[in-house]
Amino acid sequence: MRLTLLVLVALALLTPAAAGAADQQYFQLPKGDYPHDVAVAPDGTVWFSGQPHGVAGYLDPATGALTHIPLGKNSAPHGVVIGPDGAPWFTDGGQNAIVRVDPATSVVKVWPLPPERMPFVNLNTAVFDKKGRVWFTGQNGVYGRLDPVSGDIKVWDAPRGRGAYGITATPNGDIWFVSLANSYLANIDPDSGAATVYEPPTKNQGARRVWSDSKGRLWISEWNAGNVGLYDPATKTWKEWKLPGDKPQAYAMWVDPDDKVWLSDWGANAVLRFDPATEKFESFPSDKPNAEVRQMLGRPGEAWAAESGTDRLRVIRAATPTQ
Amino acid sequence: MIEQSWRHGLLDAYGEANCFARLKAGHDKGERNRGRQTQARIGLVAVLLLLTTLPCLAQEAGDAAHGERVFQYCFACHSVDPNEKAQLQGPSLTHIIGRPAASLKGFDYSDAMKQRGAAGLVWTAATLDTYIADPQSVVPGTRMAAVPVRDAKDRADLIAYLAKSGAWRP
Repeated sequence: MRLTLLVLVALALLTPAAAGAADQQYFQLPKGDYPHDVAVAPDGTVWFSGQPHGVAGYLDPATGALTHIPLGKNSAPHGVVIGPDGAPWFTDGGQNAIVRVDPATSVVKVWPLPPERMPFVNLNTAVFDKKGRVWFTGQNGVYGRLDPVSGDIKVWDAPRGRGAYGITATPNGDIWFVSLANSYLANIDPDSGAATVYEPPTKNQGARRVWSDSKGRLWISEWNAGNVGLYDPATKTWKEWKLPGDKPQAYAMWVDPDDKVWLSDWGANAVLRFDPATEKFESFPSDKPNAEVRQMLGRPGEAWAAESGTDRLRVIRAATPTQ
Repeated sequence: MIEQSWRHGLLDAYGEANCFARLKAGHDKGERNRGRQTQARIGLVAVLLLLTTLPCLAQEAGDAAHGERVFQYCFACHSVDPNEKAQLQGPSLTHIIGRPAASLKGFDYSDAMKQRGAAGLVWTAATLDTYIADPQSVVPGTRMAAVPVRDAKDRADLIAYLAKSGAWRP
């Protein structure tokens, strides 16, 4: 079943002050939609994971049309990414499955994880490698790989148990994930599935999400420490920067095509853009309290944030989009 | 392949609660106080007695063994191990039954949870049942983004499992 409605309110706000020459727009979703994660397709259409209601949300920002697509009994999707096929792929903790929605037909396809010994892994986030395989994390302490063509699913224990959270692929196809509960960065051997742990300089920093820049460097949001971290696999070096404010809490993490680093800071109730060249943060505060942005993704010129706390999607558009 | 390390936090670390003994102790305490306390005092004893016995009632209402499996929904962020060392995003659920909301010392609760705690929210089997099904309905603005446990039997079993650690001891 596919339910379509118009977005209740779409506000375009010009904010030339702290945000520089950028404009932003909020899309108010129905109360309780609680968008956990958001992903924007190359054509500009937007998908979000509606965790409480077990739905895929589909927004056309141009028209404001919003569609809810139920993902199945017991569904509770945590993450969403756009696959190389242009479709949204969900990490569905409720169904303990990887779920794809066909953007043209709304047909839902479900790949359940093998149930042996762990019926629910708290599926968290997914990413694609260059071979079209889906790599995913389960916060109960696993990571895994799905080959959508063959249907083969492999699941491995994460080092030290629970906490596997954000995951990313570098331009050359390497897969990395971070552990929130155990505060590390790990690289996965794509063939054997073995994980190698890399320790950030700050202990118990709470590495929550990770994203690669165009050079294959890993940027990490450190929730407990309120840092943005950087690991360069080429030089094997670390660097960390403290976010501004009294009690920063770094959650979402996305690196745009210009290699600007986007984060959400729950302490400041803001989206931040960090410029690695100048080492300066630029703040984009939310216009409502407790926005609670859990994840960001985007495309050239657009950074999208899911405001789970306000049932809204937010886009920040750069004045000079990168082509 | 998955090994059984995840079970370390799930396996029951506690002995079976002696519900009958605690029920009787609570009853005896009520008897001793009868006639000597003000009405308000008796009311307080009644509340304490209720909080003491709730774990037993919850255990009777649900299948704790199955509840241990349901607890996997919670496992990423919560522990029932009193000696847990991992730095988890959710507070310990040891002795959760009868605990006032946002009262665990040292845990960084959200403002929303602190407000509900200050307003008198106590984690009973009933409030937990509603919260596990729909967290925002009990604590609007809670930061807990969990898989909602929609099945009433699953929730009862989960609460029975949580109750095995015994009631809240301030």
